[in-house]
Amino acid sequence: MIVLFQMFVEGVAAGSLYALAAVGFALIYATTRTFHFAHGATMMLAAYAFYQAVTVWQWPAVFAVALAVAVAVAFGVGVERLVYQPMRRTDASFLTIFAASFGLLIVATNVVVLLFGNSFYSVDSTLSRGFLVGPLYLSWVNLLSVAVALVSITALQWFMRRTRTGVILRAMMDDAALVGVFGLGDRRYGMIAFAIGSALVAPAAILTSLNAGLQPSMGALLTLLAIAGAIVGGIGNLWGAALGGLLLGIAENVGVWQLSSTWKPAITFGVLLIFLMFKPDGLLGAATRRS
Amino acid sequence: MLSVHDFHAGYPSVPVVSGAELRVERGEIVSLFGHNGAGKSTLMKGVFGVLGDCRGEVRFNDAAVAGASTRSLMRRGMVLVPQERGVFPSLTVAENLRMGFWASGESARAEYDRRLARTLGYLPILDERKDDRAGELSGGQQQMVSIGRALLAGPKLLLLDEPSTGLAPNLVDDIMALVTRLREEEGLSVLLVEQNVGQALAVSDRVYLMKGGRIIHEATPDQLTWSRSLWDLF
Repeated sequence: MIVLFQMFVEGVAAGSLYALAAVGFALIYATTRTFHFAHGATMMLAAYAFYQAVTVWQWPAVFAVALAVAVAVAFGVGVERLVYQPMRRTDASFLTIFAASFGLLIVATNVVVLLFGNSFYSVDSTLSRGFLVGPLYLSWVNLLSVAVALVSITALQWFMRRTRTGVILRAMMDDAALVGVFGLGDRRYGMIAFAIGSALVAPAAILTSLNAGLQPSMGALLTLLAIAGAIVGGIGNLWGAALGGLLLGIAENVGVWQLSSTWKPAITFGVLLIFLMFKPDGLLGAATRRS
Repeated sequence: MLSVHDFHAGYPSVPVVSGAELRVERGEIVSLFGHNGAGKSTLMKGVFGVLGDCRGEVRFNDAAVAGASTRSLMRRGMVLVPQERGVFPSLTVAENLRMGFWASGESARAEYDRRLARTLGYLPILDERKDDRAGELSGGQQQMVSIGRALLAGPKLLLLDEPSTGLAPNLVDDIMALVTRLREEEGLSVLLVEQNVGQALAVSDRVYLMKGGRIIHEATPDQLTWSRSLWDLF
């Protein structure tokens, strides 16, 4: 039973990071209607930037974190400005933009392979260590994951409710065309959504690299987890996406209680399949639509 | 206040309005009547800069504004109340109203408070429901939110696109009474597209009849009411 509790703790920590990725994906999708498949590439690039700064260049952690956030935001905003916006101006279809996004993920992954190789890297940090609370082992990385997710999502909630930009972004989530009728919600707001959504994956990138190390395939996996979290939570609902990401993290960790950890992806996408079949609106999607 | 000359509007490769001519004077309520597909809403959206494929002359307050962005028109005082109410359902009533204020390009708190107080004076129900999500309101209340949001933008000319759609007759009466009050007390000009001819005639100073994308006649409400031949035109 202790093992099960331990796995639940690990699941909450992993789910906190998935929640950040899923909320970022959901924010971008809901405001711009862009199925940003390259979201995982943002995370992968941020993770490698952090690794390069802290391990190779030996920068202080705070500067390495700042670089990772800057790389994530620059990649997200750059893709929106240089790829998606020109495509939208030519009335490119949803599928065309999706294909471009998929291509971006592959290109970004290959660039990382060229620069760093296909090898597995780890980042040495005291945060990987932890302490015992009774029979449970808590690592600093796991505690930090939960804390960062809570702070980030609470800050986003405040921003979306209390600031003019946040309210306009929420209005775009309801009806972007109507926002345009009011002369608001122009291209800048799309870039703001990408900036925030991309910044949210930077902590996930850093903490994942501390906890599980880095390899180029991490981008594709995180994209799938973010999409799965957003769908399980109710596509287009930010807080549902957070809940969905958390749920997936807990499910994949608790689910391998009696199984090999190689079953984790199967459990994650099994949960997604169950939701798609029996509750396609997700956890909070139907409530949002009714209201 | 608004004059439209030889105006053509439509969608890519689908022309809808051709050669439209109309004007709205200061403090005037002007209605556009016509069957579904006559081009009334397309003309209104074209004038407001929502459609891409438009040409012709549009003057607003003596300035040429054809091709101007909706943002620029809103800041000059031309405000559209879109068809089907068009509220942001997950935003509160107060947030919906604030969207109108922001669209006007104003940011001073005192000006917002002044416009809000004036709007709530016309639409007190919005004060009672200000913290509720707009999507939870009835159709009539949502229409009030849509009009209230337009008032927060500080309009000089309101473009009302079928405000009575889907509403009970008594609510339509309320909306028409509100339009009349806004003209009398605020000096607002109104261009009204409406299927509900009887109720719109009662508040209009002049009307235009549209058919097949063209304005085919201009008349006063009296002329339209008593002329069988005008009715036969559409």
